[in-house]
Parts: sequence; C-alpha cells; structure tokens
Amino acid sequence: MRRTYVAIAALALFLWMPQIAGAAEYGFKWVTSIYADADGIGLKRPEGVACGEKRVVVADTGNRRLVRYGYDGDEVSAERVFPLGKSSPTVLQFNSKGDLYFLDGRDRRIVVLKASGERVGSLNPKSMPSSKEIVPKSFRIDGDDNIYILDIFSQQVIILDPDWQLSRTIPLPKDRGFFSDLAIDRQGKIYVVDSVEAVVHVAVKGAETFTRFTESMKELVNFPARLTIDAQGVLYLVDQNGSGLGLVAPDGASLGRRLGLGWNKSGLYYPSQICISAGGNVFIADRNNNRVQMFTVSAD
Amino acid sequence: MRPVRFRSFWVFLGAAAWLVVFAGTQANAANDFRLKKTSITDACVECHDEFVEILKRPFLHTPVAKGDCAGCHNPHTSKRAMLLDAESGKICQSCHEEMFEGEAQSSHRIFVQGKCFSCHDAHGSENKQNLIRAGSALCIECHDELGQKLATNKFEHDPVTDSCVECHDPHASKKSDNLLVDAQPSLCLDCHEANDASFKQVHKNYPVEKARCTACHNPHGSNTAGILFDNVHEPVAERACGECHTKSTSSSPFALKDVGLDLCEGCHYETVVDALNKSMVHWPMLDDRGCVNCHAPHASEEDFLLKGTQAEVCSECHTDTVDRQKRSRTEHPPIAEGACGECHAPHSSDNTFLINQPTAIEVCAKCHEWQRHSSHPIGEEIVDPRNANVTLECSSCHRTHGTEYEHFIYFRTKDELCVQCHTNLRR
Repeated sequence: MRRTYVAIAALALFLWMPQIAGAAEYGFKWVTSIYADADGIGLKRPEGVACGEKRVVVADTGNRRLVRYGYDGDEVSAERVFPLGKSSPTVLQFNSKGDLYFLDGRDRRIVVLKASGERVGSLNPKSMPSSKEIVPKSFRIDGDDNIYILDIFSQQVIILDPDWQLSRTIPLPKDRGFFSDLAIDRQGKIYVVDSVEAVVHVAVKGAETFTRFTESMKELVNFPARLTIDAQGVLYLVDQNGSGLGLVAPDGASLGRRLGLGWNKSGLYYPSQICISAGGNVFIADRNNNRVQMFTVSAD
Repeated sequence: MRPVRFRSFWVFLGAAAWLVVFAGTQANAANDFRLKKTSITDACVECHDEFVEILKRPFLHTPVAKGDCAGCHNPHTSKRAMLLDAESGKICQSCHEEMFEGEAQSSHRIFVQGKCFSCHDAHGSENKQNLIRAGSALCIECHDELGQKLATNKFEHDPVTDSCVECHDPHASKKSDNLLVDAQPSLCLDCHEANDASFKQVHKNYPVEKARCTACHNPHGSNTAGILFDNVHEPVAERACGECHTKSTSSSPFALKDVGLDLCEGCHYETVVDALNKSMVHWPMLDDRGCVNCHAPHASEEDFLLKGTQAEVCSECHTDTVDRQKRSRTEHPPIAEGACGECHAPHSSDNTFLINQPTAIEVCAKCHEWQRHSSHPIGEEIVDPRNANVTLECSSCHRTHGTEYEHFIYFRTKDELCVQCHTNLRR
C-alpha cells in the first residue's frame, strides 16, 4: 500500500516539475535597445520588427521607413534605411532570401522590397477567386518561405507558396471578437489570437479548421494584439494595452506574465510586434517608447 | 343484565378518556406555544399594532393570512434584521422554490440578490402578488431613465402602458435575454398578426416575422411613427429595403447585396474615402461585418445610428480600457461619461490611439486649457529623462483612462511619480 502512495507521489512530482521548470525558465534579461538610425534620427512609433541571426529590421512606422540593423551580442549597428514614401509599415517579415515584406497600414496591402531595397510591389496572391477582396491584418513567412495571411475581410487564413500561388485557405472560427495576429511553429501549426476574447486558436498542419487552443486569458493579458512562438513551442502574447507579455505553454497553460509598463530600460509602453531569432534573442517593437528592445530569455 | 351494565361502564369510561385526551390535544393545537393569546397573529399584533391595518389589505401573503408569523420570523431571536428566520431571498425560496428552478437565460439582478422585498410587500398589499406598486410604476422606480423616456414618447406601445410584465418576466427568463417571457419574434407575434395585409405591405413583403423586431422598433415606444427607434437609417425610413437587401421574393430575402464596408460605401462614399485615407484605420471597419460592428443598420436610439452608447459600443472590444475608468480612483469626465469620441476618431486617424488631434497634448488641451500657460514642462522640446527618444506629454505622468491612484498618475504617490525622472531627489 505504501509503495502505491510513494509511486503516486513520485508521479505527481514528475508531472508537476516541468511546470515549475517551465515557469522558472522564462526570465527575461534586457540586452540593449535600438533608438535611432546611423544618422541619429530617432525611431518614431515603431510597430514592426523582424529578426534573423545577425540582423534585425524595424518598421519605423511614424517615420514611414524600414531600418535594418546588424547585431553581434549586445552590439547593434544601423546598416541601412529604406524610405517608404506614404506607406505606414506595421507588421514586418523577411524571407530566406532577405526580401522584406511589410503590411502597409495605410493601404492595407502587403508590400515587398528586395533585400537591396528595390520595391517589388504589392503581394498579389495568384489563383485566388477574383471576387475575393483581401484585407490583411497580419501575416507571417515560415522557414520554407510560405506566406500566411490573416485576412479579416473573408475571415480566413490564406496560405501561399513561395511563388505566391494559393495553397489553401482555413476559415477563422466564427465565434470571435477580433483576430489580430498569427504565428507559425516549426511543425507548421498555425496559431491565431483573438484580441478581444484573449483566446488563441490553433490549426495543426493540414487541418481545415481552427480549434480552440486556450480558454480566455483575460486574467493574463488585457489585449493580446501580437503573437509569436519560440523553438520550444511557447507562445508569447504581446499585451498591447497591458504593456507586457503573457506566456503560454505548448499545452495551452499559462506561464504567467513577463515584463511590464515602463519607460526605463526593459519597461514597455504599448508594445507591438515581437520576434524571436533562431538564437533565442527576443526583439520587441516598444511602440510608444519609440524603440525596439532586445532581450535574452534566461533558463534560470 | 349484569354483563350488559358492565360493558356499558367500560364503553363510558373509554369515551370519557378519549374526550379528555382529544380536548387536550385540541387545546394544544390552538396554542402550541402556550401563548397568552389564542393565535400567533393575535400575540404579535398585540405589540405590532400596525398589522391591524395591514391585515385589512385585499392581498395578504399566505403565511400572514394563516396567522403564521413564525413562518418567516423567529419570535425569540435571530441573527438577522426583523428576526427573520433566514436571509430574505432564501426565506422566500423555502416556499417559492419553483421560481428558482431551471437555468435562466437572463435574470433580474435584484431577484438573484434575493431582494424580493424591493418589489413585494412580505405581509400584504393593495396589489396582486403583494406588489408594492401596481403596473409599470413599480418598475419605473428603478428604471427611471426609461420612465422619463416613456413620459415623452409620442408613439406608445400599449403593453408598456399597461404593465411591463406583458413582455418581461420580473424574476428570470428561461427563453430569452432582457427577461423577455419569450424570444423575439414569437413574443411580438403573440399580438401582431404577420399574415395581415397591412403588416405585409408596411414591411414591403419581407418576411420580418422571422427577424428580430427590435432591429428597427423600440418596444418601449418612441417619437417616430411605427415606434421605430428615433434615429432611422434613411433607406429604412423610405422603406427602401432593397437598397441593401436582395429582393423580398428572392430565396434569401435578407441577404445583403455586398459585404462589410463595400455595402455602405455606395452611399457613404465620402466618409469611407476620408477614413481610408488616414494612416491608421480602425480595423474592425474593414472586416466582414464592417460598419455594423459599431452601427445599427436599421434604426437606433443613439446618434450616428450607433448600436448603443459610445461606452457600450467601444467596450464590446475595449473592455479593459473602459473598465479601467470604472476602477480609477479619480474620474476623468469624458471617459466616465462614455464620450470616447471626445478624444478619439472612431474611423481612422493619422495618430496613434486614433486620437483626433495631431498630438496627445493637443487632445488634453481641448479641455485643460490652463495647461497652455502653466504646467510642468511638456512638449516636443522636453525630453523624457527616462527615455531619450520620448518627449514629455500629459500621458507621461497620467494614464488618461484611469489608474488606481489619485489624478490617474502611474504611481502610488506624487513623490514616487516625480522621482522617476528627478532621480536626484530620491530618498
């Protein structure tokens, strides 16, 4: 009888430990903040950020431009500025060739620049039903250069191959508040976040519909406007109105909040897009602090 | 003869014993508690003489009518006011169990709170169901805004004048929201004959008997003919349903001719173009629902055909922001009054937060004119010591929608706030 109790206690401890470990792992350490371009012109209301191993590109929304930076450790240096005319860049991504894709909040179109800065034009999906209008609220590019567009007009996620040919669409859940962002994990799962309901839905690779991934997380986040996922499958919800991050474990459980409202380093003030580099560096477009902040996530 | 006499004796004795026991029992039944008076009511009324009048009322609560004051009150002691035997709601529930059964789709708050005596007199009343007022007057005591509206209506809805309970269950409804005794449209069709020729004609042959009547009509009456809500969308006023909907003879007569914003753009072209030419658009305008995310397409009580008050409409999505004001120690009038449009442009803006002025300072200056000549240094020249890329503005110290601290500052005290920048003054 006693053996049974010991076994149950051991099992419970075994099941509980990863949760404690999971919660403890996600400590954020501030590395540096990006404030300006090479000429000292300050960022203004930057809403977007995309990052790779050695470079990070910022959608400097208020200045209507993109700014590319190189980084090595905590050293960040501005490399190039891409003026965008009247465009108002919000969400930003680049593909494996370094081509830059940004969502123009003014024209509600995804605009493409070559890595050199040459403007390719708007992303026009091929083989789409001609009558279908698209209003992209956000988009992502996966490691194979497939493009995922969150289309709020037709309430669907549009998946395009690297040549912009329509692969398929997945309808968004009908019971909704407002879908703001999406994220793709390494297994090809698509996550969408409903900012109003504070709920994440998921579509596994090949699925034709989304299923609810979390319950309402209003206790965790006020208004999760942006979303990304790390290599371990942990979701990072950017709480725009709550100026912080909410973390969600791969099983949908809350891992608690990180960072908080502030103007000093590591404080956030109405943050926007977030990205995680392959090396685990986290970049957050700290919109109303007019900067992008870089963090490492410690495993302590 | 002798055996007969003997038997009679025992019969007599038995009858006498039965009479003694029976009489004793009857005496106890009348006065279980050995009260001085012959009934509990008499005993109570000896002191509570106001009940002499109450007992004359035409409608008496059953325990009162039976003289069973102890049905609800403990005559000796209780932890509760009025010597009640249990909490007010629970004590009612002990007899009126059926009121609390089943799952309700909507419930009257005071009923859930057990405040039965807000509407009922527990002893007796001049009105049926022991209501403290008859008809709509009782409801209007709390729902006074509605009462004022009813008093000024040019066009009345008869059931409202008669009694609210014609349409509402004052306790809870198992069938509908808003305490309606039945869901729409079947509730309305109890009185309104949908097959009537005039009904069909006025509704342009659209099968409105399958729709929600309150999409157009104000069930409490209004100042517009047909008790339409007071602000009517022009095509509705002109009964030009076909401007937006497919023909009434089509297979899906309520289907819209276009989706979202595209439908409205046909008439509201300038508004749409103006909105879409700004850097930041309010994104819900552009989804499949478009304008009806915020506007009622047929008729509304609110200006601009809003679905509800500004605060109600905005808080459908921005609950956290609207609730922040409710928790705020200091009230910020435009927000507390639900005037979101005082500071924000609801369709689009060239400025963050969709504010309706070029800068946040200018938004505040619309009301706080004094800050133009005397204030802590703010403006584009004044760099925030905490972040060299940010300049000082009102919102550097105040969270406009409210905080848990006075004057909606971000920190517990003014000192704590000031030393965020004036670090040399930190203790």
